[in-house]
Amino acid sequence: MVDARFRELVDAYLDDHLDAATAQEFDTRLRVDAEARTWFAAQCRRETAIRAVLQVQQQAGTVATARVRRIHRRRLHALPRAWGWAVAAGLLALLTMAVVVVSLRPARSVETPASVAVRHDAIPEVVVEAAVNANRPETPGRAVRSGDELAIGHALVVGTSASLRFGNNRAHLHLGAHSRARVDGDGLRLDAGHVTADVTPAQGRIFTITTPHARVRVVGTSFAVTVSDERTMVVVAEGIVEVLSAAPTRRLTAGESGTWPVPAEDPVVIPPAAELPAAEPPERQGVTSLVLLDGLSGNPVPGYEPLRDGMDVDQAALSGHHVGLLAVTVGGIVSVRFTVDGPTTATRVNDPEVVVPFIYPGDTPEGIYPTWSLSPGVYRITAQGFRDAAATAPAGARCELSFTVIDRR
Amino acid sequence: MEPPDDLIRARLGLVQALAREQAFVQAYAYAIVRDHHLAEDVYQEVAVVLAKDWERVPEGLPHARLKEVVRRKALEVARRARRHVLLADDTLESLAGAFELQPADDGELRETLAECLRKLPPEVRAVLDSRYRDDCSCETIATRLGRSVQSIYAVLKHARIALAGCVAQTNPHLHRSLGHG
Repeated sequence: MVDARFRELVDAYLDDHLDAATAQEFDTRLRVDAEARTWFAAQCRRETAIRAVLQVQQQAGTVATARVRRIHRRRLHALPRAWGWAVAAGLLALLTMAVVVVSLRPARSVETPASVAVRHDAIPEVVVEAAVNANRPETPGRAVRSGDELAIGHALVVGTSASLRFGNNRAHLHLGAHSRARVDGDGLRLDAGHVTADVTPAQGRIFTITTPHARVRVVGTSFAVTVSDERTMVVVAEGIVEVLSAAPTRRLTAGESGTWPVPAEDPVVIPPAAELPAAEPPERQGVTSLVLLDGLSGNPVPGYEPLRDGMDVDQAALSGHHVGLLAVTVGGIVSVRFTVDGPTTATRVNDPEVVVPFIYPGDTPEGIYPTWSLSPGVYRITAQGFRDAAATAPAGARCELSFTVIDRR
Repeated sequence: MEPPDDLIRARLGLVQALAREQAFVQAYAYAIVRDHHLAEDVYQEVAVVLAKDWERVPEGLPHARLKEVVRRKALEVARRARRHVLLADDTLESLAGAFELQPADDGELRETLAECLRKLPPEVRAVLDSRYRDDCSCETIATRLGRSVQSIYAVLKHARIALAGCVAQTNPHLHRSLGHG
């Protein structure tokens, strides 16, 4: 179990407010402490998972609303868990990336790009060969199964995997987890996800992978396509690929790669080594204000951001809040020491808080904030910022104020 | 001449391996660049690098190779984005091993987090949405909400604690695998 100090360093690192000294401390700790590395890695996994879930929930919102209405009509009271998750995972794919690798058996008669122009029978049928956790948005509530037929325009949202056969064994595609695709007249439109394909070209027919940024036409090759929100990247392993986009059509041969849209020339500038925030001049350092905080949510208690000198604090307003006191600082403040003089307790000087956010009464080793019980009466608070973790070098003026907790009941 | 089936299988295997390793790649990249969007860029570029060189990539995509590619690409992406990397190179190298210890599939983690995120108060959730989903800096969130940036740090810190508590309650085994208890 890592200590509270390290957890604070991780929070500061992830929220991008480590100063040079604490960055060095964090680096050293990671270098020498295997347990700290493991814990940090787990937190990074959690962070990326949180992002993925929030993206899914945002996009699933509108779909889920429509789906729930239908389900209510059918008097169903719960979504099948697997279906719900599959839709969510598929929607997640909108914001993730795709890898498509198409291996193409050489044509018996090699097609030219011109032959693509007229191709009414390019994709006569699409049959699902296997599917795990896959759905079609057009038929909510019913999982896609082996043997299902897909027509042009049908969309597929893949939670785990799905294998498709295109055009009477002409192409076999395997869609990976979190893929989102649609059958179109030329082959497949891939919005995101992972597809592997084995395509055999036929006379007068070209298989095309269409992404939001480009169309990748199989001329006789194997290639990789990566799709993100902003761009499509294509790398050719062997043979030739033709990429059509807003930019002039480009042919890529073995070993070549390209990005669409074509990025503007933007010289890479290597940042100077010392890019960390410079120390603020002494007159711009210190504790600027204090805020009454709900220690559970991290939000200010309404009406007390900031807390002002001489304020009356309604005890009823604090009810239900896990109250703490946040010191807002400017400049390179490394630690803050709070001195609290309350009506029922002796003056308390806490150990300095050493990582932003600086909060009284501080958190426990488990990272939980203890409740600060405020009784009716006058509180005098002093918060002093320091330039060092040991709280020996004061920085800026102290923030001093008093407030009165009033029981109006 | 048709490519041998084992070559085709090897290519398909590489792509499937990349899909399996997505959580590992993005989390390790995120640890280096501290930006979700850039971490996703790293994953893409890693995929492109390996696809380009697929003939030389051993079957099963060994982590030793993958870690090296991810680290290099993350440093490159950070440099292009003018994002300062705070950790030393040898620290990043030793850190990679810790990411290998994490479960390969994060489906269970996501499912549990989805449940826990729904339980957060709306105002906390709004901050998390801005930070995690919309890639806003803490400074931007603070400006939008008319709050101090340090109160945003506090919200994020407490949200993480609340989520850890919820995960502990919902799925104790998963909670332990995240290094708690």
